[in-house]
Amino acid sequence: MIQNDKLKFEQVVRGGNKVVLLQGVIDEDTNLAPLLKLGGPLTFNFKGVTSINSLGIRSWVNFIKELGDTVIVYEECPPVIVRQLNMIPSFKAGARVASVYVPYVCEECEAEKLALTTASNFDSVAEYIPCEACQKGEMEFDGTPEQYFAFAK
Amino acid sequence: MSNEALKIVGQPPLVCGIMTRKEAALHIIGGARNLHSHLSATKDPTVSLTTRAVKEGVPPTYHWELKDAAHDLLRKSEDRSSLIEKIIAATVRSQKRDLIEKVRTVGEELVTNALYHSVRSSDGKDARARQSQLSLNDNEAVKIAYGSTPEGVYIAVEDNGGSLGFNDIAQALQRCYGQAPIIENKEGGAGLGLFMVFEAVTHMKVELNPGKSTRIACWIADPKVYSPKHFSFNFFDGAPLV
Repeated sequence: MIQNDKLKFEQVVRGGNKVVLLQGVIDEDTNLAPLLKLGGPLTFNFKGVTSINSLGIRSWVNFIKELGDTVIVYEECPPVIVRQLNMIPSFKAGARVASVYVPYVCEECEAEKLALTTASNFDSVAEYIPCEACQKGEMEFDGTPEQYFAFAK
Repeated sequence: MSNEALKIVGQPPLVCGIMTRKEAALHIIGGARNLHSHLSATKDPTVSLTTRAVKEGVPPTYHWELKDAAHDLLRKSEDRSSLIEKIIAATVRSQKRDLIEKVRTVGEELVTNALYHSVRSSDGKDARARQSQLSLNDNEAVKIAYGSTPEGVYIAVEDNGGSLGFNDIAQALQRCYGQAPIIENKEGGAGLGLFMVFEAVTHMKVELNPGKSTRIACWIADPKVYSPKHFSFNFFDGAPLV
């Protein structure tokens, strides 16, 4: 595991592919240089990323640029990363987004859920799903598909 | 869109109407300092406040600038994250992820700008290194006000540098809304962060007292109760400290 104070990286191999599990905060203190030595293709798993600020975005954009033609995949992107995919084109650059978490909120009990959705379902995500917490209400997609999946267009 | 430095001459009139966020940014890039996007902008009382303020040169206090807001001073840069989490806990009344993320983004970016990009040295560059640990006295400390209603969250951040000019804001928006957004710059600030704030908030008011202070006040409406096309941006300079 390569470790910074606030962002931890762990490299695993899955099906012969290098996967980097990111956990924590991406900000001005993040040093992504150790990841440049890994070589491609690379999959970045963002499930554990809790927040990212503008300086972290800048670091990530510069890092992706330095990776050049390396084949890159983003997976398990939480809403905070999806927001950057939609707002900053160079954050995604040429990466393929394999999966994202879609936020749902229950109208009855206000429970929240993040539902993992793969790329093949980006254009057919359900607007409502049953609430497992209260089993009474329906959970509504907390956003609009057009805005949430704008990066995929 | 050209990426050459902007020159703003004179002050265009108040811009009202319905527009997208990008259209609003283009107006600001074109020099508009006061802008209200609303279904019936001319009937919006806040437009009247803005019109009078522009004529009289005194920034108004909008209804969303909560009078009973809590106040805090940030003296140490290492306390930034805990203060932002405190603001979120105090203002977001339920686990509304979208609202929490917006409040975190706005708080983080405004406070970071106030800490590291508000004070310039004689060569015009930032006087405080971005990754330095800061310990400020009461006069230098960043002032934060925050509060909420069921309709949204109010945050205001004030620094004692007074260096964020209108051109800085316009250039930041131009860099980020341009055809080829430029955010890879390794130096400087007040760029991507301002763009993120502009995208996240419903209302934004900037009061610049050149060389003395900059106060940025924002209202972040609960996504369930507002229209995305209802927002405002207002910039006032030469304003006295409030």
